[in-house]
Amino acid sequence: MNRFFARLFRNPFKMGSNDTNNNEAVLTPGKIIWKRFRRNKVAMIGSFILLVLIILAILAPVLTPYERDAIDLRNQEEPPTAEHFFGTDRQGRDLLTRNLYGGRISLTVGLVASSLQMIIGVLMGSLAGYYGRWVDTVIMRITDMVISFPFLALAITAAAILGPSIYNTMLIIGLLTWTETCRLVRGQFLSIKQMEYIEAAKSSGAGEFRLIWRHMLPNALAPILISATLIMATAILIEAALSYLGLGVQPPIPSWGNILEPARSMTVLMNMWWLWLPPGFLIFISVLSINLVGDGLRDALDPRLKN
Amino acid sequence: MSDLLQVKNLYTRFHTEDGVVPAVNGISFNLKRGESLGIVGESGCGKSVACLSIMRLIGPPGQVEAETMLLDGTDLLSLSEKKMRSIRGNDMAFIFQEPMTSLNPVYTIGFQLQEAIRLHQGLNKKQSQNKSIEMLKLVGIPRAEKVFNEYPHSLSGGMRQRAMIAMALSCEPKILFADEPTTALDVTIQAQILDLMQDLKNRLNTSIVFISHDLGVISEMVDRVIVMYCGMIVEDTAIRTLVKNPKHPYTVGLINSKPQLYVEVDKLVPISGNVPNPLNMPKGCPYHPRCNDVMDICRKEIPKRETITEDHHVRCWLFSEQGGKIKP
Repeated sequence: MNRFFARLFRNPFKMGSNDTNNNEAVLTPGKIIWKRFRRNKVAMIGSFILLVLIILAILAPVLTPYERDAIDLRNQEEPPTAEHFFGTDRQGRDLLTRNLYGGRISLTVGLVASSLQMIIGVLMGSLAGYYGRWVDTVIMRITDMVISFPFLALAITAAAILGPSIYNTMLIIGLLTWTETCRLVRGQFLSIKQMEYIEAAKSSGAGEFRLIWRHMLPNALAPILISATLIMATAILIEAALSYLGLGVQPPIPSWGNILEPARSMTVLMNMWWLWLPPGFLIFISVLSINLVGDGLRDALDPRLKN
Repeated sequence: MSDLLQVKNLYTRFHTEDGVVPAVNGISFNLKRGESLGIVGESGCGKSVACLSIMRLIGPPGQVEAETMLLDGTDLLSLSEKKMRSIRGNDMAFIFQEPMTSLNPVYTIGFQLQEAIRLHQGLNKKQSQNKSIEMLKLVGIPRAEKVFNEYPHSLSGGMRQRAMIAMALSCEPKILFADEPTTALDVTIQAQILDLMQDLKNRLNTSIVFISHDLGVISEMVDRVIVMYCGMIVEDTAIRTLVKNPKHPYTVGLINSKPQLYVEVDKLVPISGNVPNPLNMPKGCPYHPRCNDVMDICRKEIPKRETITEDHHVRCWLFSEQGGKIKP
């Protein structure tokens, strides 16, 4: 079983590169893309910022001496000091600590939700694109239905019904954003299906599963990857919005969205900037950097832009 | 010697929104082991579709029917899709026209070669790797070990076509369908590829069905030839007979429209007009609107297959009793 999965998920860009004892460098598609990506300064800055954010989130326990949820009622709503760089919140919890730990939650929700939508979108899109006919019709009508709901209203209703929690937030975002990927993959499959190498693979005896998984999907990987990156940024924003409204990640677990929550009060907004500026900035900078990476990927993967 | 492939009354129709397109209209032919058969005709006359139909690669909206379609005694029409898959690539292989797009751009040549071998021959990784390198060497690719690890985009058209041929021959198929394998290549490479196929055919005793619209290429490659027009076989005979003594006006037209090396002519004679729209076939013989020797009966009825000699058949009223046997 393990070997089956290993074969299934083998990276197509690496295929064959370690098969023979050959020392000459072969320019694999992966290497070409990396070379082009590296040349894109803006994208490199984006990936650097993102990397820093990820490292900060991972190293949170090392970077602060405070407990994530430690309440200190003597130090409520303190402005930034030498002890609390980002100040404290209403319960006297250290905000630097909460922002660092919040990054773990927000980035994870973004990643998981984006992966979830990618799985659903790729599955539905490839089925629709490959089989066509009634399968295509059914899947595309479902897609149309999901798209035609007002997004935030549906997300809020779903959060209210399912109950707010991290996992439900991931689920809701995943279930509401797969449509873009689905349409994309379907379109890709429709054009790849006409390619002669698919006919050639069929004529050498490849079955349907192999055709879809091994021959068509790797060729559609570039746009899927780009869209997944960009949707991850969207997912972080949606998570922030839901948590801000109290329908996403629930305190005491911090996320950038629910740290922002006190900013609903005008007094906080006007007088206590340290409560909302850092998480707001972190959301902004993470979404921006992910979008920069996404754009960089788009440029690097676009075959029309040959160096 | 028994026939390897027997096809009788093969019909392929496409059900499109505009109506039914009869791409192949009842063709019959036999192919012996180790024999090579050429199929000539203009674009859109059903050459490729006929071969794809035999491999059962025509999906909906296409529909394939035949009275018999036997490969080595096995009925291809009644086989399950799974059985059919094990025959594709293993007993029958296909070489496509366009070497630039027939290889999957995301995999190495070696990976694609190994795929067919491992699908059908049950070899392990090491064995299939050796076999693929051996195949690459067989089709005359220099530095085969290196090419094995390269991606299609770094190979030239001729090299890719060789790789395609290596792939098609890797399981030593009984029949090789070559769909205009040299059309996309320049003339010197064309000659090399043709020599290579001829050589491989002799060495591996593979039967070849060679599709082309180039009579010159065909005459170099094959033993027997079928001339197709609008999905029908209009003439079939040995290649020498066809070149020296063509009967059907369409075949004569094809030969006249080709420049000849040792005969000086001022002007080539093209066949006038175009292939008719398959949705709107002319009544009677499909060739009659373009034919110079057209008679009344041609416009009314489709001619039957007439025997000129035992090995030479033609579908034209000029040669039948009913049409008056105008020509001997």
